[in-house]
Amino acid sequence: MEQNMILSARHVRTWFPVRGIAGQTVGNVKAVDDVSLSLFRGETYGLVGETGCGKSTLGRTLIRLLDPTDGQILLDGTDITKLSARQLLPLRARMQMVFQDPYSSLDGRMHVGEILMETLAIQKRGSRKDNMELVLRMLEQVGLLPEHFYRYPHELSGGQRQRVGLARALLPEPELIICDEPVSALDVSVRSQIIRLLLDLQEQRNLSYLFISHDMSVVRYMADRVGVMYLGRLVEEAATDELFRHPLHPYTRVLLSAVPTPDPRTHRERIVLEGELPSPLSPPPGCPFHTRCPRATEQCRQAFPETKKAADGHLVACHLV
Amino acid sequence: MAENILEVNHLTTRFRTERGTAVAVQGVSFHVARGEILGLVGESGCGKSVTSQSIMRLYDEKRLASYEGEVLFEGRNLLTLPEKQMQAVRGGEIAMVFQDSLSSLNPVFTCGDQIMESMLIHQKLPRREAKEKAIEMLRLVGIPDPEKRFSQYPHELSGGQRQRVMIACALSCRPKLLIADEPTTALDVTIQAQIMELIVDLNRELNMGVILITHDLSVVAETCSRVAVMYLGQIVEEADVLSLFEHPMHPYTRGLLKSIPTVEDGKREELYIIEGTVPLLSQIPQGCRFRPRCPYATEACGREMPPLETLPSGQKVRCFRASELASGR
Repeated sequence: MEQNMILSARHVRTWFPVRGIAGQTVGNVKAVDDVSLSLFRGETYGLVGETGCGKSTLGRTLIRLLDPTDGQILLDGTDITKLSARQLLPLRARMQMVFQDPYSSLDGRMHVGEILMETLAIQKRGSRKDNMELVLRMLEQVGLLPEHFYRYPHELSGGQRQRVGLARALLPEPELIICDEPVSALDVSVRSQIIRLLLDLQEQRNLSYLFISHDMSVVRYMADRVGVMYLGRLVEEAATDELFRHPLHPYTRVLLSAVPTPDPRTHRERIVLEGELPSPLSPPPGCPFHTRCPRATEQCRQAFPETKKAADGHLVACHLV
Repeated sequence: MAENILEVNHLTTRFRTERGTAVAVQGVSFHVARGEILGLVGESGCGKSVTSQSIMRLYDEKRLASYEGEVLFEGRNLLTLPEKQMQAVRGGEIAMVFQDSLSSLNPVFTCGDQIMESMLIHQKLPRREAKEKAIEMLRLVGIPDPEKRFSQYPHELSGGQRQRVMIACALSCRPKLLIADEPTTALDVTIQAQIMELIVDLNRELNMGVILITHDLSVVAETCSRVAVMYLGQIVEEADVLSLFEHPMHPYTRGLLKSIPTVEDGKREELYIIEGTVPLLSQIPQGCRFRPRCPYATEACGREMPPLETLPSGQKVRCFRASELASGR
């Protein structure tokens, strides 16, 4: 088991200090608070939750695009938590990222070829001629044509841009890719194309994905395991099918009940959430979800629920389970 | 059958561009009954937003756009209505909710000001009364602490709250028709569920017609009674919601439905892919517009544009091979 683990995070915290007028720290935005998770080789781990729950911050922290405030991150057994930028450079090739917005994540002044060649140049790979060949082969793999090499991002459609983003992530031959809402900005038909591409590439290269999304139907389709985040905490984790069939945490139930189904005959009971998401600057005491939880008790208001193991590898942080 | 509040007949919208005329909407016809929710679906660039903005005549007719056809709102043709009267319709009798609440609300006015605006203009209410009504509107759309929100600015609110404020703006004059253009696309599923529920409730309470523009078929399945599917400026299929989901006739509709990722018994169902992309308006294919991406296309499809035919069931479809494909299923 341990051997097959590509990434492991233990008690990771990412806090952003809030400065007062004199520059002193007056508080912390606890974007990620005490999260532990592991990612196996060839696995897709879906990370879901609402806007502002910290899923993107966690994704970026895990590959050290952001520095964790506390905790430990292991990449294939190597502790990368404290490595300097220089020490990280050779490891960067092994962990890559695909962003949601292919419009803003590609430099508009560089053509596709330059964008992709730059990746290889940073990694100090081969001669220019060899690299060019690699890039052309990669374009083909992600379903683009050689002629796209000299195109600028604005000349491409949203789907094509996302393919370029994917090509850029794949060129250093990573083992792990953090996919942050990679299909959320795309149209239905283009979305299917990119999902299929992601799955094919995973099979060919035994890639691990951390798949961040707020679209439950896509997560259910893509992921092997799913983690649910709320206010910087991981509140539930289970195998995908298990999570969707038997959600244990009240928040997961709310989240799943809100997902519309493409069947006009079903009329589900929807659990409506009261109130607004509390500020991560001052999360409520006790269980972070108690202010909106339909089943909250006195215990929930006072004590923080530790993560428990339920049946079938199901992890849940709730007093009532 | 309820009377039609809106009838759109052969609406064509052309834009003058540097590279010639672009026909963004071509011969679109549909109707909305009083108290009905009609879904208008399709991918980016299929003309759903242009259709709705043409109904409101929001494009600059002097320089940019020209309309053809008829948009009958309670029997009056909006396309030939003098601008002065059109202004009374906009925001008064027909209201619109847009996708991006941050750019659709004015950042330098308070939420209250923006909700009151249309009441002050259209209903000529005195300020105090308008304020009372605006607060009542905020309460109606489910915003907690409406008195406080009334004097706050849009940036002080969350995305879901802003969307509610925009709905409050739209509903302040009790419109007879609401056009909701992707009202929940930028929102979380939980907020989306709340906003959609709100629109459905208000539709029932106020007996207001709704055109719901969306690319999300699941949202359509849950809220609409009838659906029109658009592709490249044309309606390719129109049906009641059950028929559309259970017997989709047009290959494009079928493709869209099969593109929804589904999992049965823990196994991934093969994800359908509609090949290619939506062509540019300057490169509209000959004959059937979906032909280059259609797996069932024949030579005949390239020669002539199929008409939007009404089948005995009442379902409308724009495909030469629709009945043949339906029986061979």
